[in-house]
Amino acid sequence: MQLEAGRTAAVTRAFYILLIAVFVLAPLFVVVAVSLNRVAFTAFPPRGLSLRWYQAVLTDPQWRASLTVSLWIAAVASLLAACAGTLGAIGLHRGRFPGRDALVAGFLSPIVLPGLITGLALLFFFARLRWTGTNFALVLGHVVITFPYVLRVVLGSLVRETATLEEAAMTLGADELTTFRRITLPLARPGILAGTIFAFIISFDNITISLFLTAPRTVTLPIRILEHVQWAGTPAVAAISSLFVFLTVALALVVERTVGLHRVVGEETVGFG
Amino acid sequence: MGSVNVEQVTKRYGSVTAVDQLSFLVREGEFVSLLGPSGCGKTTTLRIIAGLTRPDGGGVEISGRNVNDVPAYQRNIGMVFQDYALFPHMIVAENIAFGLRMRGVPVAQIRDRVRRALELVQLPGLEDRYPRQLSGGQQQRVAVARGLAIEPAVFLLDEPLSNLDLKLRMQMRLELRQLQQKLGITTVFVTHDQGEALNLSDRVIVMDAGRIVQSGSPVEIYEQPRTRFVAEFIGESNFFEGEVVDARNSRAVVRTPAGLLLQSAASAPMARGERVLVVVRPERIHVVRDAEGTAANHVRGRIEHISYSGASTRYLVRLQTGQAVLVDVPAPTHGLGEMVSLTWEAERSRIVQENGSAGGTT
Repeated sequence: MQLEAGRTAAVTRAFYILLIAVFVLAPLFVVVAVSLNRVAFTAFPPRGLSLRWYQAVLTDPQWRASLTVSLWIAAVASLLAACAGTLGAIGLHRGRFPGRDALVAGFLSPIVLPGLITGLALLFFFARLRWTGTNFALVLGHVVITFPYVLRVVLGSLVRETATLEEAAMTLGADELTTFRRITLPLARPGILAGTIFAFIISFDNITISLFLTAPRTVTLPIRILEHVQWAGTPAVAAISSLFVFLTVALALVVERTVGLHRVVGEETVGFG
Repeated sequence: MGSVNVEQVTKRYGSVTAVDQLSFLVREGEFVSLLGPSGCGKTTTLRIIAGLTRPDGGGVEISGRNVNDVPAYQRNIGMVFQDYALFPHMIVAENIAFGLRMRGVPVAQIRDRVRRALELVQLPGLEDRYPRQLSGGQQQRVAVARGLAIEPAVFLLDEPLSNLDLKLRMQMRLELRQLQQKLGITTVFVTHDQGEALNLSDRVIVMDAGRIVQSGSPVEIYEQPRTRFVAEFIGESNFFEGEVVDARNSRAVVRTPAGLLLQSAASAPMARGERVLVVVRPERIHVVRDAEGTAANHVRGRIEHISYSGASTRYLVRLQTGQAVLVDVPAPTHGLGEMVSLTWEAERSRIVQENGSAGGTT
């Protein structure tokens, strides 16, 4: 009896999870399906299978330019975010000073603030400096919204025991720099890697900050996709979007394998196994 | 080998004084325990010796050299932390080799010294394991091996046995003491466990509220506590409050408010009329059916509770004065509710001050 009841519960749960997965993932499948169209409009289900739209976007100079710009910005921004976030996390982990919690909240605020507000604020700020429309300002804007993710993951990976381990290293004869290199950094490395990858994804995907800060000539990939949907609407946009999805999934897998996705996106309770 | 001289060391955290003008000396090769309840400043003192915490006042000398401005990594100390603090990303061999590398020991020698360190703690052959693959007891031994491999001037241990289960704790206690005696290494051991302190140490320093309450050999600390705090914290004690009515030749007679006259050894000169406490350990009291014999002290009472624990039996005896007295006897020879006489020799009890002449306990 009990076994029977347990099985029913398990089946119900599995069905429920499947339902959620379908609900969340179905739109993505539609996008991928549409990208495989042979015809020149976004038919679903696709009319005839072909990879022609993938070829089209990857050879089109405009799509290529946007892809390149987005990759570059994401790469530079996530590297800068990695440095800022890691150093910030190490400083916060070491120090027990008044106002520390307020400082953490301040650093993490770009995660909770609406991107539109952050974008507007950055626009006003850079306008004062006459930096608007430069790639430099765009990258800095992306650093602002991505480094909190690095900070949070690295801070999470530097647990209380890390401080004791650093002290142990010191008693064994390691000076501050050696302790940082041999103990702190290796322990924080998975966190730094995961945080950086996540920063890369956030930057690559970002549209609100970019809308405020891009020059007329630099069109990032998300902006290009938006424009394309508005004006043309061929399956090319589905093809580039599918590539986008594949890249993100691949990076998310790397994060999951290194530190676990739940440590980046939310609280411990999420757990992916 | 080195000595440690702690002089007038003070450490404050906000309005709390964790360590209050503390001074003591650890001689070469000596095993000294800092014993006290949590928050008494013992761990802070150890961290100040190690150079991990900066004192607000006073100074520390290691082997005669003032190390106030010497960072932890140049003090040549070995330290074992309460949670072992093994580096999780390094195998056992790398953990032990860490301190040797920092000292620039040639690679060829490191291998040999790691092996010898592991043999010392009876864990040969575990070089390639990661700490998480070891049991708690093994981790503890690796931590000891890591601390000793660098041949430090002073060995510092911060409650190293408190995370082990009882049986392992007893075994490690013995091994730690044998190891220390074999190497003759100057050791400072922090613990809140009086059994550990009595067992291991050449000398026990009892601390309370950042100060030394009493310092002496384990026998002195247990047999001649100077304050109520020491008598209560180390072992168990019966206390009789009273007033000195006679004192001569390191003996005193104390009268309790209920009219009991107790004779006791007194370590310090007493004045007539002084208010004091007579301390008697439960195992120093004998139980007889009728008051006869020549013992200096005897009181009557009824056995109110018996707890049998194999090697000894504890009676709770309610005196006619209403006071409860704990008595430990080797074998249970009396029954519940029985009227008995309790006797003890004057040499078997001590007189202490309520607040301690040893200075400033609370």
